[in-house]
Amino acid sequence: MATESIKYVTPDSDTKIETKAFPRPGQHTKGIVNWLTTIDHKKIGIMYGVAALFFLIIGGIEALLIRSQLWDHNMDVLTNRQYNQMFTMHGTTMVFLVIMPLSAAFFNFIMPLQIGARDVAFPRMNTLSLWCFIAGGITLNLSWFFTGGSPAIGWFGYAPLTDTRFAEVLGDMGPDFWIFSLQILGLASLLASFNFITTIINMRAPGMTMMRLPVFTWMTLIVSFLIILAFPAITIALVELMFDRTYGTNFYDFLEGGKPHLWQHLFWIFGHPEVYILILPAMGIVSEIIPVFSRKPLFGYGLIIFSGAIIGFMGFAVWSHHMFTTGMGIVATSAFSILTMLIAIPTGIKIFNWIGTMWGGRIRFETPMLFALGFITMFMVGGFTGIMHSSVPIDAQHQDSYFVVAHFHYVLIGGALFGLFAGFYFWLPKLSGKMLNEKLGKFVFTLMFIGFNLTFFPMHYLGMIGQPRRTHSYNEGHGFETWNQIATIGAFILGVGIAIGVYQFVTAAFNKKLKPAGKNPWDARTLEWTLSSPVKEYNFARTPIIKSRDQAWENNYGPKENHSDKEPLDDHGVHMPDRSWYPLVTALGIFGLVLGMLFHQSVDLNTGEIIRDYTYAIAGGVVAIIGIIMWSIEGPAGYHLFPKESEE
Amino acid sequence: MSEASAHALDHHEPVTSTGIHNKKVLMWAFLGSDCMFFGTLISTHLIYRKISATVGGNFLDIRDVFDIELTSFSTFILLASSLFMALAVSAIHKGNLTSTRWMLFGTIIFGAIFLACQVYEFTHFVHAPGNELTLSSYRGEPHVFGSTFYVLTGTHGTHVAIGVFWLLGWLAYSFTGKMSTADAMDVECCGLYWHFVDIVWIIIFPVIYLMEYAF
Amino acid sequence: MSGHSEDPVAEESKRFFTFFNLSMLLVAITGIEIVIIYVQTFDGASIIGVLFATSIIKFVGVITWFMHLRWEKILNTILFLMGLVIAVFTYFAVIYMADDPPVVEEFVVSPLEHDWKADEEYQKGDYVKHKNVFYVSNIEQNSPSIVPGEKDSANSWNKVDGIPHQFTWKVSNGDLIEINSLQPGNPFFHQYHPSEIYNIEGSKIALLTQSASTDDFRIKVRSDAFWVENQ
Repeated sequence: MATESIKYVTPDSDTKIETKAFPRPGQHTKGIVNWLTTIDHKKIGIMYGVAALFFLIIGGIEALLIRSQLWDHNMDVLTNRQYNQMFTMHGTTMVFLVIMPLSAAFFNFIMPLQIGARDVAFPRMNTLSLWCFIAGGITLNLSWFFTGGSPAIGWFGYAPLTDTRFAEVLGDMGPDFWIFSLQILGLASLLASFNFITTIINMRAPGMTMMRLPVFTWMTLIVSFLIILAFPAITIALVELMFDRTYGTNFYDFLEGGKPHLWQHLFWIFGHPEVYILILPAMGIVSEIIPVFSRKPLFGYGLIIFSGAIIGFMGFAVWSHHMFTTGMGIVATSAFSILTMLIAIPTGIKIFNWIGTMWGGRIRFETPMLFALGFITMFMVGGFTGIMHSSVPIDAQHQDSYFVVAHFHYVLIGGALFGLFAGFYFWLPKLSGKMLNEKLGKFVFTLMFIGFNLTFFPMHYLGMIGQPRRTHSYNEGHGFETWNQIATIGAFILGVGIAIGVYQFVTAAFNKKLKPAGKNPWDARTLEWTLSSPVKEYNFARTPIIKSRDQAWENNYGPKENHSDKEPLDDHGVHMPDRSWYPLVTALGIFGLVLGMLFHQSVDLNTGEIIRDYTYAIAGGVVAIIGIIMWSIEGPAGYHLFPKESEE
Repeated sequence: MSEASAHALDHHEPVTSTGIHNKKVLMWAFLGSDCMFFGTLISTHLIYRKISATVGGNFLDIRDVFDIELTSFSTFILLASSLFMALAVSAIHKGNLTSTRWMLFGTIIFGAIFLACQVYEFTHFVHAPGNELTLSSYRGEPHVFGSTFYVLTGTHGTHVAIGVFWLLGWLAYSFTGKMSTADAMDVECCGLYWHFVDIVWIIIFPVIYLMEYAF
Repeated sequence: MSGHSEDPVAEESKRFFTFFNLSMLLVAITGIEIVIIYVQTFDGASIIGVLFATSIIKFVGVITWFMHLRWEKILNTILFLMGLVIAVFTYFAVIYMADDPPVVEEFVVSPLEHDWKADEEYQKGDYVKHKNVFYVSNIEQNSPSIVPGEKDSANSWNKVDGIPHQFTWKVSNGDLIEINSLQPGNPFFHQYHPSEIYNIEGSKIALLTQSASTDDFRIKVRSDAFWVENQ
């Protein structure tokens, strides 16, 4: 690292208690220890991204197995149970282990740079979020190896199928793995969101008012609020389910008085805000890219933010549209139908504003813009079918058919994934310092666009002629074969496109043939583009004083009074915190606690009674508590850097 | 003016965009989120409180197992602990370490008494002769009241226990000689958590216990 | 809203009394709640209303003073209220939507086979059986009452076709009740919307072709999301 020009000064002695065990690794930590103990938001973002891309490949393989099974009538690629496991794992993986962490990767890397901060408000908690996410991904995929294999309950785990009473395989642990992995993943998301909220509210550079924030940062804030308000519902729902399965309570057991319907309510109270959590980050990314590649400021900045906030807020009011066919009664059904229709309005406003941004601009069709345009068009298709669902009688026809599968893949792949890929092509130059191969990028887009539409457009038709979802095979004579085969071919094309894209992203930093990026290769608008590529360890050599929105653009093209200033460096220089082992220790403890809870039950072979042994769970819990205690007393430590003003 | 500017002599003002400490913003956001937690549990309880698979309607009278004297006592205990907590925060803002220690100690003792009452109540209910209330049954009949009651009050009790551990940590720290008004903000955040646990009980007590005597 | 004096110690000392007073107030309100429950003179709905109000008062008291919201920037209040408001609205909706399945608490059908007796008094609408024929009384009759079926009894007794049966039912809640006979040869059908949807009680007398009892009939009750039957 370029440390020659940076002076090193001995650490301040304002530490509280220094720990002899696992002292905080200092400035010159290298190698794997550097990555394990880092608290730097940029490294954490990279690790989120790499892990999420890995899970994208896994989830994609699961999808291709599903598509292979459906190639023709009555195929035997997968057994019934394996098929159920595939769509469960595909859904859970894609939602929780791919889209959410990819969004988290961008939030982590980009947001602090956009607000002029040196890091997030609670760097060690940020690291804890990352390791909890990794632990959650491992927990979910451990399920393959134990009794019953992976969960076969759908990514939404409807009761009463999740009751032990209905287990297909005696002692099926799949749902238990599912429950606990979602709990850890929930913890990871919650911690990260609290961090982002505090950072955005409290750590903006001087002059960076809320209305000068980039749209991406606003979306980070709104999504974080959605997460902290939606995840508690599923946390409790999962706790209740765990109690039902393990301790015999009656929350969802209808034979004992429980209401499976309650699970649906609680899950979708989480689940609906969750889908906005999945799409808003991509909308934020697209809101950054369109102005840059149209060379025009974003049209209706205030309206876009307000619409995003309204979508988030109203997202809490529409959850029962996933339950239209469950017999809730006329009043409830109508209310949710109307609210669902209303929520299309702010979404439409955003789309008009993006179009308004492009109107009259000088548009460049580089890869990030191609994906952004793909987002807008594909998301619109998904949005149209979504509005169709909001009509209750029409939804009664769509429910559980492939029409719904088409809808949500249009919004999740055509929307979220395209938006995130746009973000990769846009921001990887900043992250890696290299420009990605533009021709290859366009090729990836072409493959993905064609493959995606070939796969999912026919599903609208298939759904309307009657192919049901989540069904292992179909008989001859329905006329499903042709379009299923086209969809499967499209899926493989999409898979190849994604694989090449992932290859591009992962090798960006190492590929010697790529050209260097420079500070602002796209002539982009927001604050992160004033920094060098890759971004230095300390982000900003001097804290910027912000004078306008789109600060980088104003610095290059705007009048002098809009140019940003810099705060002078005081005697302390830039204080950099040391790294820390304790987030990793705490995450390992939590992981141990979860494994302990998963395996604490056994049956006495003589009496048939359940034996509960909490030793490993308690051990994990103790490690986590020790981790937290040591974390709170290890003290800030740190070192100081004195970069020159030009070394940003 | 931020609250901390009044203590400019003792510790630096938080250099944040809003003038509020990061940890305080974090704690308030967390408490907002915790409302959803307890909202889920309380509403689940309200839906299920009368429901039994084998006996319909209002036939199973939970008042036979409830002990309102005990629960009222623990309610007053928790309220008292809240007062001690507020005074502890006040004391550390003033820099009065001895008072802080005593107030923290009082909070811990009362919190521990509350927990002891809860534990006693749970074991009492599970084994009440003729009126056993378990996780899945009441008087031997499958009933959902036990499920929701124990999980809800158990979650609340877990929150209290975490608070007690946190306070014990502060109490221990106060004896190391390193505690000062610089820690006032952190103690205040602990106080916010403790008060929140108290207001959740303020909701739970009427809605879970007293309501059974009305309907 | 955080006007601080130069002297933090005096500031905090003033607050001591606020905390103490608030604490006493909370204790007093809790005491009132418990007394109301013990006294039990009010009906259920108003007790709930009072408990609701006192809880809100205590809740607001603690967050405003103990948790310092009164003395701090509004952002903290907003962060907290966001969660609270969304929780309240969402779970109010969930509770509203959680339907009560109706419970058929009582359903009895029995034939009315009272033999006519001379020394009994009869009300209008009473059914009697005399010599294997059923009659219904037109008027109030004191004892000794007219013999049904005699030539001059037309004013007092009307012959009825069929055997009168008494239906009684008691249902916890519902908005539609339907009772029908399970025997094709003994038809009966009655459907109505009860005027009160909770604690429904009903009874009816109907004439049937054959003598029948409870097991030969089915009662169905409908609420928002359930149809419940007695068999």
